[in-house]
Amino acid sequence: MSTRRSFLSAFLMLLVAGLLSPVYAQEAAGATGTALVQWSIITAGFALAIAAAGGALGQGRAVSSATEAIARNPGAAGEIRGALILGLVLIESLVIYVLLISLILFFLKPFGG
Amino acid sequence: MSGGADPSSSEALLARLRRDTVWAGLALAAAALGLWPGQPARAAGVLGGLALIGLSYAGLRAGVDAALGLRMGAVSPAERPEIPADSPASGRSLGFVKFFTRHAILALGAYVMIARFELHPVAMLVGVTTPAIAAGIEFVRIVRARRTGSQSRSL
Repeated sequence: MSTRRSFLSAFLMLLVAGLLSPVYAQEAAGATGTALVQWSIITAGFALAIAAAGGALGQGRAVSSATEAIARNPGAAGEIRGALILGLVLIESLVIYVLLISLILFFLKPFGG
Repeated sequence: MSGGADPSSSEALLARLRRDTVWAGLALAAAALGLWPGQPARAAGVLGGLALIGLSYAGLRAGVDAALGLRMGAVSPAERPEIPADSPASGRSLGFVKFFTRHAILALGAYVMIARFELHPVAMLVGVTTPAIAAGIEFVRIVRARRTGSQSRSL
């Protein structure tokens, strides 16, 4: 438990250190972004919104079904818990995909700009 | 999932999935390091994706255990499932805090990894895929165990 906590603390400190460090890849402000770059950023925003909404709907349905099942059969709560956590993690991983793709479009700008 | 109220079986399933996820992530990171020895950002990206999904898992698990602990207050002790000792049964509010703040922490972590540390973004996507790989491995394991069981019954 303490190992996990210290690992988590070290990870969070690394994140904060990364946040405070200067942006290494910052380029001089050049020409304004092309239309493609602007559209890719708009698309990233919409993609994140749609993914969050879809993920929330899916997780809501999963939690709703799990609580209903536990209410019907409280003795099976342990098994339902495992399936619920697995399902939620798999749904969440899809939302993280979209978060990463949106961050790529926001910050790395693969279409130039 | 088979029927029955055995909480230890779900805990064992989650432990197997955790172990398979970590091994899949380490194997993919090692493969990235072997394929592109001059670009450690790819291997680090896989590990970064693994860390992101680990944070997400920790938040979800803490929230589910906290919510389950709340529900179990209304259930008779005989029917109450055992919540693992490392779950936040005593610090239920901390579990909810982890659950509700996980997206903020994930977004911060992903931003730092991509924009500041410049980890390879596709490698990070691969790292996030590792729970699906672990679920696939578990599925194959269950199918094989059932097949073996049915063959031994027919003999």
